[in-house]
Amino acid sequence: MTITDTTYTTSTGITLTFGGVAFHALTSCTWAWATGTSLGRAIEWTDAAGDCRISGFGSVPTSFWNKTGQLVIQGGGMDLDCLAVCTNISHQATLNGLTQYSVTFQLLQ
Amino acid sequence: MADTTYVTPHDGSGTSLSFAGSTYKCTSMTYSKTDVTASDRVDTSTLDIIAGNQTTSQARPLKGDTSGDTGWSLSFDYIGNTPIDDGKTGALVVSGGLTINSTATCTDSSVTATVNDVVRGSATLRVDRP
Repeated sequence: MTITDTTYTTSTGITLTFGGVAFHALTSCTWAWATGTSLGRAIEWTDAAGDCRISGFGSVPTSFWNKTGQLVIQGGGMDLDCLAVCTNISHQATLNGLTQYSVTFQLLQ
Repeated sequence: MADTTYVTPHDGSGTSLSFAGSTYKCTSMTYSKTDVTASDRVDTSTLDIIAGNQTTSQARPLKGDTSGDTGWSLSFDYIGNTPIDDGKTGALVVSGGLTINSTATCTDSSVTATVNDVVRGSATLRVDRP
């Protein structure tokens, strides 16, 4: 019996920029597109807007909060390019470990 | 088929253990040495690393607590019904299959009574480094 290697997309080589600024040392990245429909409204912000949540080593300045910019994710099958707004920034210290940041973006359409 | 001549605990006069002036009838011994200053590392691999490349890591910022721990220990089982007092310190001499000549401190000891068997004890000693 031969075992065949699979070639599914791996979560490697992923980069993210927001408003032209690169977010480094990402350790996790998830995004979800909007749910539901626009109800026929041509608007950018809806209650069902999607979001993107990232975490990484290091820190992010709180000045990013409420900033709008182009969110571009490339690589690892995570490609995304849309307008977004930063809605949450948090940091977590780990005992005898590394400090990590987490940022949430709402995806505008 | 050729005979091998590896060391056994029964060679010569056999293997004996003496700790803090008492001799123990041992049925097994394990002598281990560990580097207590070695610290594990934090995996710092990130999503931007390209497939096929190496993971990255860095040492944890805090070192392991070495106070009271030499990293050398001797665990042994013996026939007897008296546990060794925790914290008891004394000369440790093992000769025969293993050789140890140092001082040690008992960190753990217990005895077990089992049906149709002699009472057996076990102990762990923290062995001082020279």
